[in-house]
Amino acid sequence: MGRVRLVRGNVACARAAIAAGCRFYAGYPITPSSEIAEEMAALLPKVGGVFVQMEDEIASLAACIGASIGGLLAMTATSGPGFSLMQEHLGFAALAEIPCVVVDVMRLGPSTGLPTAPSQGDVYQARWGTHGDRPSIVLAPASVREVYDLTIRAFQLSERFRTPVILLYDEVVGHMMEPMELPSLEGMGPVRRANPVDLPKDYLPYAADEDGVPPLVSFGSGVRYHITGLIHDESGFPTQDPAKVSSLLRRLHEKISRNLHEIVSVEPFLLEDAEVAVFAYGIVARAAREAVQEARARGMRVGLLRSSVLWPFPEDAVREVARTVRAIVVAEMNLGQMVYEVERAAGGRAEVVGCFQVDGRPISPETILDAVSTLCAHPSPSGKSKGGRLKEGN
Amino acid sequence: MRMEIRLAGAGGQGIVLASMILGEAALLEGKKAACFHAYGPESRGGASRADVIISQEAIEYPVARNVDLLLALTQEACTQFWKDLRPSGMLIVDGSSVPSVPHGESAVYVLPIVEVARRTLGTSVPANVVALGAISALTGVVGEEALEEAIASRIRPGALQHNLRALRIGFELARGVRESTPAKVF
Repeated sequence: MGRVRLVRGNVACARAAIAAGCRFYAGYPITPSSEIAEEMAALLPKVGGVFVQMEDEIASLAACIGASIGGLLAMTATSGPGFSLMQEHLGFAALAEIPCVVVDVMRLGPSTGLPTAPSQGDVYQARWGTHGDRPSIVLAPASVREVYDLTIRAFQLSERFRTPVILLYDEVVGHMMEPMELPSLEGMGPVRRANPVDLPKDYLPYAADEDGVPPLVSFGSGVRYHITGLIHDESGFPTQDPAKVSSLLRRLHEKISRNLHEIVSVEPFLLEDAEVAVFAYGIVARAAREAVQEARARGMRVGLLRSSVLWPFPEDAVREVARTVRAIVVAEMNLGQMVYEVERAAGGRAEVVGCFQVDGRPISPETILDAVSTLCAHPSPSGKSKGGRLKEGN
Repeated sequence: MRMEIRLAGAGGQGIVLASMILGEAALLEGKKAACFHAYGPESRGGASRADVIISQEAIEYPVARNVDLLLALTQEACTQFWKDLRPSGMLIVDGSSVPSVPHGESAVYVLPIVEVARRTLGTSVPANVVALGAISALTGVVGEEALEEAIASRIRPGALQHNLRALRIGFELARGVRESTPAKVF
């Protein structure tokens, strides 16, 4: 281990990927994610890995998918404009069930937008950006240390569920530096995904185990099979049989929805006696935590629910909070994305109020404090049993 | 106690590197530190800003908003961030780059940072490190020894002596000024 130094969020991401066993990176640099590519280009050759700078983001994810099915853990990183280009292949990886990790460091959009300013505008894109109906796993770290931990988690979940996993964080998290001790690269070498042992002679690549996930055998390791972006049966070949079509799509959903306990993760803070809760993620959750502490110091009963997993959405946790608080303030750097999920999960049990900011600056603790102070000062006259309609605070 | 320091100037002046050195010097003294960097879309030039938060307690929010100390190496940076400085804060500007110094309640130090770097070191490149020396001498937020150690771990060996000299020049520059103008901030 080295000594504690200030480490940039994006550098922590790259270092964690290497530690997780990632040995292939294909990407096209884009602010504010470029430090990930820079770091991977420097490190991968030292640990027997491969770095490729591609011609664009479409090819970047295609290369990662190819490397992954060839037996390497693969990652790419981008920002909004590149993430848009990756949507088609995200769908392919989801349907063909090929693990890979895609990092989207969010900057303000749409289009070229503000390349160096933070945003949380890609939350819905990470969930619904690719066409077709498929589930999505999206992790949202809020500190440099958590970028490290959740990058490793992203690889674990991706392998576990054979699906692309998206690591989604804003420019501030990507560019800020916090103290961290990075593990040494010493002793790290080439890594290949282990194939399952004792494969049956009549191996079917898409025959799932009980948990809904088929065992993954890397291409070129002795078993021949077919991979396609067409809807396929257990053999991997295309089918239009309605029962098989439905069974595949349902299995893709259920391998996630039946294993939520392995994925969903929330961090409650001072919620026990709270009458107003803040829901936040990413850097905004850091501002919210400070706002909550200041509100407490002023005698207001305010708490925070931070989610480090955006999708699948932590529905049960939000429903529980909505049962006990009068109102939930959803603070995010967009004009309302997660707020609709919170409102749906709250189901009218608590008033849901948005605290949105889209001016290229991170939301400050004072802005969130203002939003909760307004709610604490003016309790809804109808009481908490009657949830209010969604409105934007301030 | 949380101290918010903003280093601001133009891209290429080493603002980001200076913030890392300052933050890591604080870590070496057993304090908590975090940095946040903001800059424009230009690949060179343009405004560059680094916030360094130093605290004895855990740092929740790593972005400065009630700045205790603002270092401005360009007029643009001074004009833009002056309003974020808290009334009793401290402003340090480079004399040759910031002709128009704002007036207010803050303690203002106009130092010939760039000029002295150029004259004594033959280049304006280590002006960022000269500024760190001045900050340390004027505020004591981090000590000289910790800064030296932090510089040694961030600057390549070939340029180390040059930068350690720049640090000492910054100290001397500020010590002379401090005797005539007592700091009221820290």
